[in-house]
Amino acid sequence: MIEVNKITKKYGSRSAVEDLSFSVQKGEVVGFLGPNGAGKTTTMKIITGYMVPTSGEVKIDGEDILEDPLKIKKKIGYLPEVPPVYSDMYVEDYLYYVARLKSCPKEKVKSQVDSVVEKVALQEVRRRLIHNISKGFKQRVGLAQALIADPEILILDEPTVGLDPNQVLEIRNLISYLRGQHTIILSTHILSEVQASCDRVIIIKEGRMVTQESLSSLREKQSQSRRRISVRVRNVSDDLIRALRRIRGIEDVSVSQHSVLSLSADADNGGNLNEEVAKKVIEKGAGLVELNESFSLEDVFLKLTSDNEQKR
Amino acid sequence: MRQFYNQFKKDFKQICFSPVFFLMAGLCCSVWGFVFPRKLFEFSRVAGVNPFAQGGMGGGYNIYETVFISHISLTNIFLLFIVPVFTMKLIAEEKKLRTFDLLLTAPITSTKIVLGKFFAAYAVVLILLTLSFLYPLSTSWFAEFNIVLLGSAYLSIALLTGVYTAIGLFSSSLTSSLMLSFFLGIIFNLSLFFLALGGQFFSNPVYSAVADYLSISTHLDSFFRGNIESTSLIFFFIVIGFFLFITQRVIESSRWRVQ
Repeated sequence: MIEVNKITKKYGSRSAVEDLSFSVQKGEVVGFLGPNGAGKTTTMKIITGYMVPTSGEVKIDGEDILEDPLKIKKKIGYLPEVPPVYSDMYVEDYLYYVARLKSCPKEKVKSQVDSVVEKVALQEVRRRLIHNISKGFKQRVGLAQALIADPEILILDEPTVGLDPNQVLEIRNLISYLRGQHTIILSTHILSEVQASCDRVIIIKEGRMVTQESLSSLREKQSQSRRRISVRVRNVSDDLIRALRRIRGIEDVSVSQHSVLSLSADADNGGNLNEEVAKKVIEKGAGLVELNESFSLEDVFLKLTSDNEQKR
Repeated sequence: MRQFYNQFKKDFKQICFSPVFFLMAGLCCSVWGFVFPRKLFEFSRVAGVNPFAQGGMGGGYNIYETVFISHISLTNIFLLFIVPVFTMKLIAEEKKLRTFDLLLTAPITSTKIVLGKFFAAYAVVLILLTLSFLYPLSTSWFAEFNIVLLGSAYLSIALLTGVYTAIGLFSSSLTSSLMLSFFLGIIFNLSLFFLALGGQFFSNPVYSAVADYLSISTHLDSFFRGNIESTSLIFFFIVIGFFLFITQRVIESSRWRVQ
């Protein structure tokens, strides 16, 4: 559906994006991950047709976005980093304005506005001035703006940045609700977000692609290299920690929070590591409360981005 | 057309329903309301001494030339400074608040954006101009004057404020700072008048003819005399069109420019 082919964007001599290629299939939710300043926003702006790349091309449904920009733009809903809302307008008026701006057919304008208001749950602020609503609501109005005219592609630039945890959860739920109805590209520097809502992740750093993989294969990769087990016990003792360290394959044990132990282990050491740990904890009478093996993108991310550094 | 009207409506509402507009309109009306009757009384005092002059064209002392022209000049001076107040927000604020992203990613051509914004601001300016027109018009209750002449003078000011609006829109597109956009607008507006002064320094008749054509005051003078010349009309349309065109180019350029 979206094909990005060797795009480069230069700001003077500094290049924000270099030789970036990837493609996104219909209905996929792709996470665009990278540290701040990696070129995520620039790439997204190029895909939306806001910006012209210095070289390379972007095709949507096989058509170059520069050939017929108006036609392509109708297929895309874009939520920029800062929601593009006019603070002196009413939420409803704003949505009507955007619907007409996106040349929604006359008879559909009202039903479109009503449906997005419902989708992103804006009923209670519908008749309020945008200036007076909370940041979470502003973000939702921004999302409503992207959803209006029912675009096939949604491009969301850091949709949860600066929101409180509840609002973050709401936006994430909304994104998973939209899954399947739209092709979604989502940029973020928060890894748990990708974990929560994406099928596939594209990691970029300094304008270059580091990796692009499905979440499951990343997970696999992670488990191949390293295992991270966290154990919650009732009472932590030095004795227990020493005993755990002695298990073959365990590389490090640390007390990460009150009564939670984090263990990192070598992946080669068979599958019964969890069992052994559990046995040891019970043996020492520490009172096992919880044991789980976690997968964290954080590690993959850090590993990949720092690996890249070493290569250069 | 729908998109143009949509853009027009949004920007018109934003300017016209803002406190700034009411403040400016109030300010203008109170100054006009202070100056205009005074001029009128002075005229009636003099005209009472010399009653034959009233309403006459060639008499040298009539209500049109003594009262109305000075009122129109005052209106012109006010609008030269006030139009940039209305236009400064049009694009600069969109850039500042990042709503420009919405416009540039929406399926709308930049020409429609520019035209929508221009006519929105121009409509607001025309409202102000209509308010100014009410002052001389109200004298028609008790004084006789040539309404066509007054209309022609106001037509010239309407065209001139169209130029101010186009210039203001252009200066708004250049920056994301409202302050800068405002002052640029005023500087460009003033330079319209100073441009014409250059004409005197050319000895070459062709150059001075060109400078003369470019001079706003030449065109205004003929309108004020009731002379609506097609060259003058074309002049104003060309200047407005030129500034709208370069505004559209500036907006387009933000697609490839380093921001």
